[in-house]
Amino acid sequence: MIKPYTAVGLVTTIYGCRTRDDVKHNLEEISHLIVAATWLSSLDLPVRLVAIPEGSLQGFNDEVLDLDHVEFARNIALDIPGPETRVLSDLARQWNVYIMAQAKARHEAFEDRFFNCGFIIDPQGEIILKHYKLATLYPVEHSVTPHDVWDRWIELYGRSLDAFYPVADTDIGRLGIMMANEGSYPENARGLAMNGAEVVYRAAYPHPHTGNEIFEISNRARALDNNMYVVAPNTGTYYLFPDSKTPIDCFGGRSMIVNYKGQVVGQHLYSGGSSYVAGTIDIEALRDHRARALWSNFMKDLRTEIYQLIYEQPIYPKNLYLDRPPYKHAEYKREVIDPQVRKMHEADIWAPPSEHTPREG
Amino acid sequence: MPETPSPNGASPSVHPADAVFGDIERPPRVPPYLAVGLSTTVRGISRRADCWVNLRHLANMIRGAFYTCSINHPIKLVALPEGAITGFTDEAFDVDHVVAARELFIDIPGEETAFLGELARQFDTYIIAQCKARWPEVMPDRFFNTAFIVSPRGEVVHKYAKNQVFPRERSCTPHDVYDRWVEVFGNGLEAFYPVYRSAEIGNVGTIVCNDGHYPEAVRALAMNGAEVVYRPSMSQPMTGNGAWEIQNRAHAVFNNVYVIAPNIGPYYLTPAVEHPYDVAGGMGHIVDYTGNVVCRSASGADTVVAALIDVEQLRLFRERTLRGNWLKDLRCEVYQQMYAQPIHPKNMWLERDPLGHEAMDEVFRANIRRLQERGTYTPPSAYFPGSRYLHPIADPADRTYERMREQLWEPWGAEMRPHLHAPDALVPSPPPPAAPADRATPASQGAQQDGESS
Repeated sequence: MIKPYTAVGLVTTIYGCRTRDDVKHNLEEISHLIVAATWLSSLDLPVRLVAIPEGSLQGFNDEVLDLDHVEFARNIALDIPGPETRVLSDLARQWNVYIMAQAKARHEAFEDRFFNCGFIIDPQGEIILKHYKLATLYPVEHSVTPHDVWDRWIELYGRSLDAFYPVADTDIGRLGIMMANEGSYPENARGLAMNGAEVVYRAAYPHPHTGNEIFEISNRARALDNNMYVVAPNTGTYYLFPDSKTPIDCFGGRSMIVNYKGQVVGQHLYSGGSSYVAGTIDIEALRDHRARALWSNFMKDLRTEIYQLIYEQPIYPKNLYLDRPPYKHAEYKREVIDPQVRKMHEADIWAPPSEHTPREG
Repeated sequence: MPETPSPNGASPSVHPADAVFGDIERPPRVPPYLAVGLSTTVRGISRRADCWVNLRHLANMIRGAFYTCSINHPIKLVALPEGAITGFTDEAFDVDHVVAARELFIDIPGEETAFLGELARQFDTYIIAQCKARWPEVMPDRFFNTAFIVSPRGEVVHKYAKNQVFPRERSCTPHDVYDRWVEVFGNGLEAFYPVYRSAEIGNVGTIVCNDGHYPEAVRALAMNGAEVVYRPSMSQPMTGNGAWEIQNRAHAVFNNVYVIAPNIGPYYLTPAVEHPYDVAGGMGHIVDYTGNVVCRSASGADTVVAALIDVEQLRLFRERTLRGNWLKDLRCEVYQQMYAQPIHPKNMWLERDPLGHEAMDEVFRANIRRLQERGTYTPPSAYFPGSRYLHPIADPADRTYERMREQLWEPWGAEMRPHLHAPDALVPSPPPPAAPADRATPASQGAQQDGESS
């Protein structure tokens, strides 16, 4: 039996990196924050899981400044495991917790490319899972995704749920990763749950989609649809560089932990400064619900033959970056987004507006 | 970005997007219109003819909604909740499926939909409604939980059969007769998630109640072109615990569709009920395509929700938005695998008649077991028995349809079924073959009720 425990999500102040060396500054921040977060949150039930939101190690300067992909891959992207994740491994050992975190990272099979990688460290300090983000923050994030190098990816990992939605079976439940924009698509949560996930990391999400509630709606809907916990801390204040003077809250707060019925069991509404969110995870209750509930235990009802029809035709092109580096922002809009919208019109999935409106920006 | 105009007003001669979208064929503009969803008190039926007591109430509610809501903008869409015409007698009393198909439910088109057609003509509106109905073109002795659309010309222009019933509902679904369904309607999204394409109200798709627990349902509708989605009725505790609204907001924002979600009102299970039970718990609402609740009603007791539907703005949003128009991003090759294996078995009611609640509980438990064996679900450390179906009628001898009708409905005929007796009844019931004494008088045929007009 897995006893109920506390999951903590850090709300981190972060500094964008000019070099890989700048990551140390952020790791230092995390080392301090994790002390406060686990100390106060463990007064009721012990803290067994700490989630560190996306961007906490490197910031988002590749996205904000439209940096060259290859240069970023060489100079700022991490290796997992590597010296930076070893700092986190030490923290996992010290506090006897699992750590879920994220970094833009290289992959040994793809030279000069970086992926957006979510990873889990166990209390012994070992990396037990790596998840490669499947949906970037279009159109301003140009991490390579497995689908962008589809042919090679399935050559390496096969065509299975494990290849795209890995799940780690641990003594605090079955853990999976769903980063940021991945959670905007119910399919990514379903894929994890169908592969066994019970506790899913979902961080972070930028403003205005926190203020207008899309972050909360998606976290709660994914949790409810799949009867799984969603641990969703949001990144805190962002300094563009370690020496920047202006802290900007690009994320808008609203960190939360959602239970397997879609209800918020821990929340932290703002993100000006460093803080944390905490909530109770009861894996045994989740398993009992999935084993006994006849109604709101939804995956058991799936009539999959019908749902296959939704995905028969390709929409987003696969293998986009098999033979070329990722596009930059303007190119990406021109070469991918606009043609994709046009494709939706031509397939009669979307009706175009009645008039063509010349663009202003 | 290079295409951004400079702050002093100089702009590039041709925006790159203009080259992509300049020449596309465009439909005429759909004027913004008002959609209303009704929440209505309902009386459970014991035979098809009883539908008229509910239809008469619905007619009055529609009149009321036009009076109160159609002031700023014209109403072009009226959505009735699930259960508004029949209640849920078959579900509550575990009525044998074939008996229910023969005795309780309707044909579409039929007298009941013709009546809604009259109202649609009178008020120049589309009406979306739900009723359990026979689909004789598919199979005899089956009923499907059907959503349908009646046009302002009074015709049924769309039919949808519910794909996911909840564990206390015994409607047949397309997947339950999958081979036959595909034979009749083909094997495409349109066969299972049809969309009605209208120049007046946009592209409308329908699901019913429990369908909306599955994100796949609205994704399928959106992939088939839907812009406005009808998702009526949900019961407690799903309305009170937030599930219903979160699902509808998620469907709306992540498919960029309007969701019209009226809830059923208080329910007289039988004519003997003095105080109706609000099984639904209110919370009808309409959500726009960015996930905002535009109108909500806490109560479901004979009330309405209303909101402006602007299909042109939705189309503009889908064309111009870079991020929040999610469908264009779907990496379908990745998603195919999660549906590669069957879970709920298909073709269950192709060769045999649908089973009752108690037997079906075991089918759902077998589904759970299947997921445990695949490793999708991890079993809990301890086994506890699950819930059992408990029939509301104590004596098993009284649970047959005939006994139930005789004991719970017939004694109340004159008092609680005024449509069968009042000379000014709006429309007569069609003569129920088993009970000639209940026939309405031919004089009431086609009479207008209460002399009201719009």
